[in-house]
Amino acid sequence: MSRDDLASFREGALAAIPVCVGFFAITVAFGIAAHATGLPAGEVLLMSAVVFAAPAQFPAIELLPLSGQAVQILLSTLFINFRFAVMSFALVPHLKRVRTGGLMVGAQLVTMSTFAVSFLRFQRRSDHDNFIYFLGVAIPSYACYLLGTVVGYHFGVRIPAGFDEGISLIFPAYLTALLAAELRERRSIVVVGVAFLATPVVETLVPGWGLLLNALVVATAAIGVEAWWESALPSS
Amino acid sequence: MGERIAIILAMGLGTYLLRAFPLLFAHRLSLGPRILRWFQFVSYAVIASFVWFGFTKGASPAGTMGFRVIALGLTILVAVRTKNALLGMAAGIAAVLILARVGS
Repeated sequence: MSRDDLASFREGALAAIPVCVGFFAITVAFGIAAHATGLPAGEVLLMSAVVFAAPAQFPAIELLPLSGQAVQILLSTLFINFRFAVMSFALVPHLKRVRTGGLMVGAQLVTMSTFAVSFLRFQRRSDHDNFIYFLGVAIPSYACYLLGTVVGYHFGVRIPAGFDEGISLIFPAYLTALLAAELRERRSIVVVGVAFLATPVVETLVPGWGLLLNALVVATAAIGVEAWWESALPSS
Repeated sequence: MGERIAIILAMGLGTYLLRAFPLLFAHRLSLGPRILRWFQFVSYAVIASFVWFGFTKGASPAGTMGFRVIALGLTILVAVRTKNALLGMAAGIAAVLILARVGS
């Protein structure tokens, strides 16, 4: 790894600190919940390692101890994690020069958090070091995710009262701050604002799909409006 | 036990394929500027929705929600003024912790 690569990796790792804290807190809760269901430690850690998506893991640990739930678990996992396909698509233009082997490894590390931090950086500065930066964000985050699972399962550490409110807000606050600090283009700011406000409406209409469906609808509407706006402008 | 491990591995494989397929094969498609722009908008919208869920999850409408709205506003204000995301986040988190303590 060259000195430039190391600097990019370090830049990503620094940006991942709030992600790590958030992941650690979430997976400690996951480890505690998994321990309570009676699942063995090895299976719980295996799930965190191969799935790496807490929203799909929480329902799965409730259903896993019951028999005959395989289809339901697998289908709910695919539906819940479908958002990763959209995120991977969005990363493609920024990871063009990466070899297939690297992409195959990196793919496992795409989550909402690692995607969001990397994507916002690529909007500001998309460069040859994109993949190294992504790995800098994702590898420490993945390690924190696994560590939190182990700590939660074996030690049952609970977050002190009064701090849970702050810890649960670390990652949303970080993303908000990243958007506020980085976003300059007016149309993208409008998309962010509309998507934020429309989320509770879509979530109420189609419970459980607020995140993905809302994003698809808002983005499609925005593209339509943008195309109409550009065609309506008098050509010079 | 063997069945549970098989289910966990299948969960992982399904999730991995969702993540990997676009990364491995989408470059073969020639995506036009309009499609790329759409993905950019989708990404921003997903992040904005995620922020909404993060800020509202577990908050009671009358209680902590008010603190969180103030924290969100302060986060944006500090981040815009300083152009520093970590500082913006710290201001928002500090605000919500202080307000929760004062309000309890």
